[in-house]
Amino acid sequence: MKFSENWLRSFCSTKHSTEELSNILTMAGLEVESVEPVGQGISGVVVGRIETTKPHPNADKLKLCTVDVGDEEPLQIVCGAPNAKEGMLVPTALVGATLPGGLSIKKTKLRGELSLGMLCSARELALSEDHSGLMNLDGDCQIGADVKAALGLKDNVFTLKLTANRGDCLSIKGIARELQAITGVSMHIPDEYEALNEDPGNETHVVIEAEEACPIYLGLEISGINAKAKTPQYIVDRLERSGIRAISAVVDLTNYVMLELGQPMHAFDKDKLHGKVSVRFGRAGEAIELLNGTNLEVTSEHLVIADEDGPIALAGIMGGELSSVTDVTQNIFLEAAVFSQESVAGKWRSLGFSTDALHRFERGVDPSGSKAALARLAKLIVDVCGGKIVALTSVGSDKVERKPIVFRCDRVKRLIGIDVTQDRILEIFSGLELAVSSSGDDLIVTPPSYRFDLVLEADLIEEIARIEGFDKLPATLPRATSSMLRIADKMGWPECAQQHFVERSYHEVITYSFISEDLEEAFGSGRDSVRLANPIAEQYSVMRSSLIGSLVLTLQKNLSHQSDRVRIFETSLCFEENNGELAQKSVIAGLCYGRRLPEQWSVDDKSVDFYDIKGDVEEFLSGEDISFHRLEDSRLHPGKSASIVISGVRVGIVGEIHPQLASSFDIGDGVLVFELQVDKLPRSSPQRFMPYSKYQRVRRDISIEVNSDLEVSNIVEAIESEKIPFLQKVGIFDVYEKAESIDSTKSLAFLISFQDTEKTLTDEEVEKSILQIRSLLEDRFGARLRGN
Amino acid sequence: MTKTLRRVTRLFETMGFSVASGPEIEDDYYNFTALNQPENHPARSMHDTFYIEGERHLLRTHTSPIQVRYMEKNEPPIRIVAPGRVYRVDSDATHSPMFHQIEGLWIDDSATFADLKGTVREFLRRFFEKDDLEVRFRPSYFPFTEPSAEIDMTFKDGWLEIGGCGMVHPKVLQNLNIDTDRYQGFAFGMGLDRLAMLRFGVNDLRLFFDNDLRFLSQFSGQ
Repeated sequence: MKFSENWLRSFCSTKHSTEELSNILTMAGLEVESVEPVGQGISGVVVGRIETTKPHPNADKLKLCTVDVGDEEPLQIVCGAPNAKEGMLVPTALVGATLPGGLSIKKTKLRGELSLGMLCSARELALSEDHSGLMNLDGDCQIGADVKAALGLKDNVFTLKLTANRGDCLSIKGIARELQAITGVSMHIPDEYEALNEDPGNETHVVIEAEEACPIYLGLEISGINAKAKTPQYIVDRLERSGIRAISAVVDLTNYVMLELGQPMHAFDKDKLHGKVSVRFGRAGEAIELLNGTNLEVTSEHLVIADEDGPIALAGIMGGELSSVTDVTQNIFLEAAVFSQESVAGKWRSLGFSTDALHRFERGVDPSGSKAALARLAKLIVDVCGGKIVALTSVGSDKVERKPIVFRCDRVKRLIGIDVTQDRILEIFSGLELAVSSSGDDLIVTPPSYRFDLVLEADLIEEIARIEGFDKLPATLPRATSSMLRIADKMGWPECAQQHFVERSYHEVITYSFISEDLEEAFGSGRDSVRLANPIAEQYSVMRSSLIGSLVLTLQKNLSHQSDRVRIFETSLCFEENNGELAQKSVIAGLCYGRRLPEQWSVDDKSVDFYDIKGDVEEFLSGEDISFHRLEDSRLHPGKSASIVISGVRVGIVGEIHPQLASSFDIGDGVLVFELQVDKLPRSSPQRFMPYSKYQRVRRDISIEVNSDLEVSNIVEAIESEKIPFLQKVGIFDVYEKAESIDSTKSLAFLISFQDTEKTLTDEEVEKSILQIRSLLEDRFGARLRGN
Repeated sequence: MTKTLRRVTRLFETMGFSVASGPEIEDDYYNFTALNQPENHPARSMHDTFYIEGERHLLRTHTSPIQVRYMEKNEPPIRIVAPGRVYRVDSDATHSPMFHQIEGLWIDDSATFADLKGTVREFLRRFFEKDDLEVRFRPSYFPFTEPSAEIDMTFKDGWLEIGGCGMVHPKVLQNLNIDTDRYQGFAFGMGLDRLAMLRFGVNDLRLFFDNDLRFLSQFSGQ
């Protein structure tokens, strides 16, 4: 809500300064977003009277004027405006003045003639777009007076950021009423007309069919108006300061009274209406062209005003084009009605636009104010446009039933922490125009018809806190029964990941959870994706099912900044649809690329490879029964990727980005990623001590050749699960695969260690176990032993 | 961001709050209705919501649904903070369509608005390590609290809005079958990104989501 400070002050003569006023409103919950002076940038401009004009001796289009600015001697000013003439009062910028846009006025010579200032057009003062000539000031302006005062520019535009519960403050009257409640300064309405002076005796035929949606409908006909009449300047100014452009007298005055009193109203061209006017819900097949050009197919969801031919306005929202007032309108039908919050609520969403009327009805308009607003509007229209009131109609009731609230005075302290005496409570309630009666220890409080937000006891306690001032309430620390938090021995996996990967010089990134369709297609899990109905842009339209795509994009961006070493990870939720069920799962993913170590003279410049990232993940999951298995995943390089398995459960993947994807995303080869599903990772359990042997350990190496299709991890697992006596650990220390090998075999070298917890092992015992392993390898995997 | 989040949750943990989390795709009930914001409530337009295609699901616009879910499963006394990603249809220099919030909830038989003021002020003073930091509470409106307030703190020469708070609305408690004659409490919410920006002197919110290593590496120390 934007409004002129002077307008508000005409409703309550508070002595508070502009700044105090702003602070008072803000601290009462009517947040003042900004206070901007009108005529900003104008200084040193006064009212001047042109005494004489004569042609400039050296220029055809210029004139020499002598201008009285209230000093002893008139000033000589050179002026080019065609309308400059003797006796005219004009804004005169003196030497030293500044104009909006920063122009400063200096003593100067124009074509050899001295000029001691500048006569201004309205555009030069940024007051309007008019640049046809000098601005002609009213005859009663005092010569020499500051033009800002003379034009009523000593004003500020207040912009309030009103909360949705305070529809009652969407008018000058409402804000003044609020100031009265907060500061005690009394409100007076300068031009209120409680009733129309005379009843014209005629009625328009109006029927409310949708009674629930329209408690009151007032109509008034004025005939014989001059629709081309000019809106008074002070009204144009006030409208402009509220951000509303002046259009035509009838429309301007309707808007003006809405801003002043909070009642949205509408003017129809009476001659364009046919038969009785009804308030009803739309019917299938009906349509209306609205004032903003929208063609709307009306449904039973839309409350409309209709004549016998169909809808003429969307009730409480906007009028129809066909029944609108134009330059040639002579007879008008004014509507002042109240439409229920339910009837208009949320309609802006389907319409795609909102209006000042909709905004107010959605928040609640007080039916008891409708008649005064209509009277005020009628008076203004007759004053400005002429005409005669010929019919007045009133359907429905302006009575509002407000539910009384039981108020327990002791609840005040319980909720806000301070004692407020009952006298003070009563004083505050009376300032807010709440009707109070008592019932034992409790008060029975009935809110006024305009306060739609006061329903519960807590609402009233808030009013007390608000009027007392939130800043006057104490700040204390709560008392509570102490208890200890449950802190697990082991951190949750995402927290663990944050620590682990940061220690390995990965950077944690935060990327948007919504990504483009292409990225999801390339790097998603392949299940049904979850799409946004209203994304801010196409590139953010799908909720991602994997973090890998986002990490690749982040890499791309950093490569364009010449990074040669990128190590990043993210922990976040991922989304997909499984058989119609929405799944949101916590995921940890990482990416590394480029140099293994930061550039330095003593280290080599090798790039990271599959085993580096696999090692980082393995270390992260150390202590778990982890294994890696061959993987087919379209996102990853077929030979350099693996699934990560813990105790038989697949928990994630690791590998190099598939060369085809890498090239289509322009990130080069050697981009390594991993992704872990947090809910698949084992739940943390306290670590357990494992006894270790104090006897000597024996190590044996075995080298074999096997078919290159065989998976190393399968062989290791087979040995480990065979219950070989004294076997302690099987490791692999070499894999060699000749590229051109004809028989497609590979060589593997295992290191196998044996140990007993009770004695030192003999050679025979170790040999026996080794034999067992050899035959296992030969029989099951067709291995050939190399050397020995 | 994680550093700020950790520190914020640690500060609240020292006061006995535990940390709760929840889904980011929510339904209408948890994000709005349970929080006293039925359909077509004008306050809904304050939150420009992302909707999921085809269903009545949406991206949570605040972390309050976590509180609702927690209250469904736990009896008072309740002391939790709920941090997380939230989403609103908004994108310019000071708004990101995805950002981070932390909300706190304290429900017992005696927590007052004065306690709320004290708790929030204590947190801000500890977070900014400034014992004389001024904090201002300004009346406002949220459908899920009553009374409601905006939280402002001193910044440079004026006030800076840092979050919102209030006493949990009786209807919210009733929706969750909590006896309003016996229990009451307060809730507050703040933008984590805003806190981090102020703490580290970051001037553009979008930097947090750009993930430029030249930005990230400045915060790699402990």
